[in-house]
Order: sequence, then structure tokens, then C-alpha cells
Amino acid sequence: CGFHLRGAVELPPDKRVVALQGIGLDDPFARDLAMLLDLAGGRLTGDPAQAGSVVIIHGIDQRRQVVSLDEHGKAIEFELIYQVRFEARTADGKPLLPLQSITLRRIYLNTQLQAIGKAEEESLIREEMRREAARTLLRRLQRALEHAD
Amino acid sequence: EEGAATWDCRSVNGQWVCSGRPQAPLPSAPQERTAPADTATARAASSSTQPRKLPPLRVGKVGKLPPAPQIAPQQVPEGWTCQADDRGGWRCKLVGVEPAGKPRLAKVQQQPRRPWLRPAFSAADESVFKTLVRLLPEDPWQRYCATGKAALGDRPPTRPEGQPLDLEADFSRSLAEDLVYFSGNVKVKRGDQHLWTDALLYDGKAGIVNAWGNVIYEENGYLFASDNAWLDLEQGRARMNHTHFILGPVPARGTTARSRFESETLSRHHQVAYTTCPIGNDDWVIHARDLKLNRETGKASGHHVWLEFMRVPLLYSPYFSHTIDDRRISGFLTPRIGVSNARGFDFSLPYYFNLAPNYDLTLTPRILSKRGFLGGLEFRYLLRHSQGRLAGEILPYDPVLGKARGQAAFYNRTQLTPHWSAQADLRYVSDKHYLNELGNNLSIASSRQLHSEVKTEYRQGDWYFMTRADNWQTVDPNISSSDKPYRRLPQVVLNYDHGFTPWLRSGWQSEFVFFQHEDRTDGHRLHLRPRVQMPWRHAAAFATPSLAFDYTRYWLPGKGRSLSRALPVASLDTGLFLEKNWGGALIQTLEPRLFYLYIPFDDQRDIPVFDTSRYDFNFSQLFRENRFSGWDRLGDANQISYALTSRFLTADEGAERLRLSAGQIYYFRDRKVTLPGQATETRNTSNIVGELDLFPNRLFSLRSGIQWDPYDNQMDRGEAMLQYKDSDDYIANLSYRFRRDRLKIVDGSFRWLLFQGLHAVGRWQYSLRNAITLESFLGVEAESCCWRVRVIGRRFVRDVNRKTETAVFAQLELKGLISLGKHVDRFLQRNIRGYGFED
Repeated sequence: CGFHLRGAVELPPDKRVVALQGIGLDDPFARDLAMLLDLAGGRLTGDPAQAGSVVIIHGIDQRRQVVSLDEHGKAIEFELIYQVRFEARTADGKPLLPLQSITLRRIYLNTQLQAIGKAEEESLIREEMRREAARTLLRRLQRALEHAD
Repeated sequence: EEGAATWDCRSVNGQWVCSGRPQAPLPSAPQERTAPADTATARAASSSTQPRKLPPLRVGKVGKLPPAPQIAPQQVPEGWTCQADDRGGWRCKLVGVEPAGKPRLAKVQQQPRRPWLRPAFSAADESVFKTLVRLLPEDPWQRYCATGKAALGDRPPTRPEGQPLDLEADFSRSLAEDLVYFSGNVKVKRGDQHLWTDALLYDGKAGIVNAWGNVIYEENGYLFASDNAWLDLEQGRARMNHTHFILGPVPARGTTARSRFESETLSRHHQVAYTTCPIGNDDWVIHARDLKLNRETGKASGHHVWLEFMRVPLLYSPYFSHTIDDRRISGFLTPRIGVSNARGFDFSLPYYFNLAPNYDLTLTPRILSKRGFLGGLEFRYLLRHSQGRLAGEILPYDPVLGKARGQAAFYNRTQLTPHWSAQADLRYVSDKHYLNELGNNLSIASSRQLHSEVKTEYRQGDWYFMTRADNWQTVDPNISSSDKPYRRLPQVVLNYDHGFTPWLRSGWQSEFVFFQHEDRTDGHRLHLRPRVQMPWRHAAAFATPSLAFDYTRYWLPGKGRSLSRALPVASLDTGLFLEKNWGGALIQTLEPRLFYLYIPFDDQRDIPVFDTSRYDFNFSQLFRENRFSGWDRLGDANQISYALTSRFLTADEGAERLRLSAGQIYYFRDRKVTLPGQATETRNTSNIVGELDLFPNRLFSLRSGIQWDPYDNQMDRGEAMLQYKDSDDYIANLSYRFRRDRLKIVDGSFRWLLFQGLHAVGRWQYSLRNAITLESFLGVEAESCCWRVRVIGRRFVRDVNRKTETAVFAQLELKGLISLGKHVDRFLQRNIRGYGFED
């Protein structure tokens, strides 16, 4: 029906090395990026001189908002928002991706009775969103690198 | 939190990088150093007596400088008025009777008189501003009023040393050695500094310039106009009388009766009137009897400062001090006025102490007609590695309850090293009803528990270490003390994750907690989970087999026994990525995913529940290894999840236009591990989860989801959230949320620009299940170029008895003077989805 396996565009090895600026390499988001790049045969570095492209993180914003109330006026559903603002450039400073953001939202039920368990759930959801944001960022970067060639 | 300043901080490589707000100076003059000069006609004294070589004065044409606009209405006085003409002759005019040799003053000094309730700026003042502003490349208010951003960049003053002084005049005459007189359309230019005047007397020996008649000085968008000016070029001193000024980069404007620039950094002004309103609009003006500006310390201070709004005196302070740099000011913040049925008339008047650039204090006396006097305090600080705040409120005597009530909070975050951080977040309220009854009109008392914790974290490479102690204070009278969450005293976590090769990762999670509770069994719990993963990833497929060993041990001191549980956890996560190109502009993906999970059964009924709850079932839950959060239960599983996601992406940017997901879990056996009081789950399949997100263009978005129960053939959950958003000016949200036996809500909210500067805001959240309005408000925000007023009426469910509260709230903000707190903004952010947040 017209679908085909996603092309295994093998980026040249120098392009698979991505420099990250704006956050440290120990930041959890950077760790997720590094792991994904590892799997793709690439590497994450802090040094733009070694890299084929540079990702600049302008900010990571995490929010939590009440979505719905129960009949006593107490919050029962919460929305978690994870937003990464970033841009990407080539090693020689040419723009690859303009400043843009990836925003993820998740709503979950929390009657605020099992407070600890729900706090743990919240941090798990944040982890999942972080990982998905890292995947989305790399997907956009890869697309931009393919287009740049 | 409520103070006037905003700090913009973020952590970069473990260090806080903070910036204040952009510099926006008060009426301070640019440095007056117009003309240190040897003159062409009068040579200065020999250089041995001069401390430095002065740049040459070049008399000739000053290129490109526009002619001086006439700033004062030309009232030709009686008697002879003579001016030099182009050819060096005189042009004289006689008005009235020939004075027969009687001298008269060339110009009468008019003393500005400003009685109360008269316009701060007269028609003549306004016409001066109008004339002056034409000297700027563009009217700075035009863009400021349209966009809220200052049009002219605020460049630092350039040092004109060494640059020649260009001067042009119709007429010049050497009066004595080193004393030259210029008159008729005098223009002076030196670097970025420009001066226009009718006449100028230059004393080359002392480096003094006297200018009179239509004196205009401009530098980098800062404009000063005056009747006359005395400038000491050597010392950078100046005096001006009766000035009009425009500070283009702010933008702001105003007048002073006398201005004295004592050095490049220190100036004193008398009878100052200042506003950020555009020319011709005096909606608000701040007045000061005297004002001292020190650019070195960045401080402005003055006496007898008062503020008028719409010609009405609003606030007065006998003394004020102010930092020039980020416009933080000590003094009263705008009062907050409200009415509600639980509190009666509610009035608070915060006083802001700008103690230092990096710490401040706000005191908030508040009067509630039904409750009495309530005092509030907030102290904020920002250090090199730490930031925090301490806040408290006390109602010394509540006549309704007959006791003292209050709340306190402390927050601190310290980055000890790039890897270590420590955080404290503590809250306390005196009673369960405090937030409902005495929180301010815009606060949402929707919390049932207040969390306090102290924790420290270490992150470096593969390691993560965290230890914390925490406590929960229940603020919902419906929650009994035995249902209160456990304290963790402490919780210690050590995680390690290492990739040996890209396809072999290994690590462990470990946690030790002491759970403590007044009414329930205390206990120690140790949890260990070593894990091996072999991720394989290709552009078109992935597979991740994972094997973990989960070990949990309990020590229950009260009962003198210990329990343990040891189980393997095996999972396999696989997926494919298929693509199809639709006409080159859109790419459709198909992402099937399978997730198999196996955990053997172990009877866990003896294990107490300290922190464990059930995850909310949703699409993500299909791919999780446990159905419980917290380690007191590890769900037995032999199940496979199957899911399909399809996305439409733009080919150029990869932006998502549509995402469609559906999935389900098939269980090969019953789930016997449950939380206490729940029965074994025997169904073969889970609910079918479907999600549809649609982003057809940048304005619309739709997020929706459904959970279908295939056994009872009914919808278990459904949600649809539709949003239209075109900047913060046009937001409309409509949503429907349904969870069987729990909630059924319709919710609409909006912020809409009705006319120029007039927004309507509102929300209505209605429970169809209980047929009550949960939260509703309606309000207006009127905004001009230089002020903003908001009035909001709100009705919401206040407490467990479903009692509703009605409240009205009003706030006035004067732009560019002091930011009056983020209170309403935060309220709108919480209530109008998308407000104040760029996707």
C-alpha cells in the first residue's frame, strides 16, 4: 500500500557526532540524547570542534497544571508539560534548524490520596516525555541533515 | 514572588546564569561632555598648563545634522530683538515703544508651577515633546505601544575623547583671548553627541560653554531641551534649567525645573515629572520634589514622591530609592482590592524593599473585613550558587475561629558543585481550612496535601545519587490522619547506567527508605534492581530485550519480622518504522510496536503498602514494566501489548500534523497481584486505547483520546480538547473530559482581544456528573500604552461541602514604572490553557 521501511540513510561518520550546547552532558536530557545517538552509531560531545552538527538547547521548561477539579473543588487531573527549545547548526555555523520547540503534554489522574505513588508516577511520565523529546529532536536533526546534503 | 523584579535564571552546566531585566534608566542625562576644545579662533593656554591635549574645534558645516526645531513658542518681547543674519549683519525687529536705550533681559525665566489636579504637562510642554521627538530616527512610542518593545536600542554612551568638535554657526566673534561667541543656528557635533542652540559662549581656557535660547542636547536617543545650559567640558559637569527630556530607549519623558550634572555619573534634579505614556497622554505621571541619580551605584533616590493616575493623586512616599538598572523600586506596590463572601472586603497594600540587587523583601499588610488584620512577608535572595525565598503570613487573631492562623514556606536551591545540588522546599499551614478561607482571591486551593522535602542530588556520567526526607501535610478535612501519606525519613537512591557497547547496556536501580507514620506500621524497605539490556536499533526497526532481577526486602520493626520478594522481570520491546510519501509535502509513518512482558507470580498480600499506587492506564502504560508505581507491588505479568502509531509529518521540517495511536494489552493469564481490597483481574484484554492529535495549522489543535471497554462494550474514558490560539490575544479552549464513575466535565476558557487594548478573559468548568460549576470567572483587561487594569469576578467550589465562593478582584499596573507582580498572569496561566506559553 505504498509504505516502505524507513530508509537507512547512513549519515557519514563525521555527521553522526553531535555537539550539545546550553546544557551539560550530565543533564538527563543529554544522557537520553547520547544513548540514542550511541545506538545510531554516533556520539554526543560537548566540543563543537569535533562535531558535524551543533545542537543548542535554549531552555527546558517543565510545568504541571491542574486540568480538572472534583466536586469538592480539589484537583483530580493534572497535565504535565515538557518543552525543549533548541536550534541546530552545522559545525561551521550555518543554520540547520531554526529556533524551535518540542512540546509534549500528558494528562494523568491523581486524586492526591496516594501522594507518594503519584509523585513517582509523575516523575516516570516526565522521564518518558524527556525520552520522546530526545527522539523527536534527533528525528528532526536527521531530516535536516539529509536535506542539507 | 510578588515583588517587582523578575529574575531570569537557568542552570547551565550546573551553574546558575541569571540576568536582570534590561537596563532602563530613569531621567538621567547622558554625560555632558560636549566640547573640550582648543578653538580655531581663540587658542587655549599653552599645553603645559592643560592637563591633556584637547581635540581641535572645527568650525564649518556640520554634516547631516538637521536644523534645530523651535522648542519654545517664540514670544517676541517688547523692545528691540536682534539676530545675526547669514552675512554677518544684524536683523532687528522692534515691538512696541522704542525703549530708548533702556536694557531688558533677553529672556524671562519662567518658573514652572504645578498645582495639584492641573495637567502635569501643559499644552506648551506637550508641543515641546512633539517637536523634540522629531529629532529621533523614529517615534519611540509608536513601536512601544504597538508591540510593547522599545524601538531604540539602548547603546552605552561612547567616549568622545580624541574626536574633533564640529561647530557650525551663522555668526562668530572672538570676545577676548579664549572667549568666543557664536550665535544663530549653532550646531555642535562630537561623536554621538549633538547640541543645538541659538547662542553659545565658549571659554576655551576653563573649558566652559554657556548656551542659551533653544538649547537641545541629544545623545543615543536621550534628548534634553532647556532654556539655557552651562557646561563644564573638562569636568563633565552641567547645569540646565527648565528642561524637557525624552529618554528614547525606555521610552519615557518628563520635565525638571533644574538639573545639575555633577559628574559623569552623578546628577541631581528638582521638581521632576516623569511618565512612560506617549506624548499627549498624561494618564499617569510620577512626581518628585528632588531626585538624585548615581550611575556608579546604579541608585536613584528622591523625596516627596507622588504618583497621579488619571489626574488623581494615588500614592505618596516621603522618600524613595530605586535602582536605575532594572527598575526595581522600594515603595508601595499597587494595592490589591477584592471582595468575597468568606473574607468580606479584602484589601492589601504590599510594600517592597529593594534591599540589594540580589535580595529583596516585600511586606504585605492585608485587611479582611470579616477576619481582621493579616500580615505577610516575603524575602527573596539570589546568590552565586543559591536562590530561594522565605515567605510567611500571620493572622494574629481570627474572630471567626478565635485563634491565630497563618502559613509559612521556605524554598532554597543550591548548586554545590556542577554535579551536586541541594534543595529544600518546606511548607506549613496552621489548619486545613487556611488556604480555602484565607488564600487570596486568585489562589487555587485545589491541593489536598502539602509536600515538604529536603533533598540532595548528585549526577555525574553514569551515576545518579539522591537522598531526601519529606513530609506531607494534609489540608483536606476529608482525608483522615490514617490516610495521610508516609514520611520518608530518609529515602536514598543510587542508580547506575552504563553502555558497554551501543548494543549492551547494564545498570541498576537501588533504593532504601524508612517509612514513618503516626497511625500505621513503620518500615524499612530496600529495593535493588540490576538490569541488562541489549538494544538494537536500525533506521527502520528496533528491538530491545531486557532482563532485570527485582529484589525487595522489608524490615518491619513493630512486628519483629522481615519480608522479602525476589522476581525476574523479562521484557522485549520491538517496533518498525514504515513511511509513505504523500506528494512530497507530507510523510506518513506507520509505527507498529510490540511489547512482551513476563514477571512470575509471587504472593504479595503480606507486604504492606507504603507508597504504592496504580498507574493511570493510558497509551504509555502499554509499554511499562509494572502496573504499580512504588515498589510494594510488582505485578505478575505474562502479557503482550500491541500498538500502532501513524503520524503525518511535513516533509521539510518534520512538524507533526496528525498523530493517531491505538493499542491494547493481551493477557495470557490472570493478574493475581493487587492492592489490598481488590480482586484478581481475570479479563483477557485491557481496554483499547486510542489517541488522536491533530495540528492542521499553527492556530488550531485538537487532542483527543478514548478508552473502549470491549467487555462491557462501552466507553470507559473519553477526552477531546480543542484549542484555537493566535498569540496570547486570541485564545479559545473547549474541552470535554469523561472518566466512568469519576468525572464528566465540560470546560471552556478564553482570552480574546475585543478592541485595541481591551481583552475579555473567562473560564467555565462545569461538572455534568454533579451538575455544578466547579470553577468560573469572567473579567476584562484594559490596556493602554502605559498602564493596564484588570478586573475579574470569580465563582468556584471552595470546600468539601461544595460551598461556592464568589470573589471580585481588581488590579492596576503602570508600565515601565514598577511591575506590579505576576499574580493575575499566573492565575490566567493556570486557568486558560496556552496563555503565556509558546508551543
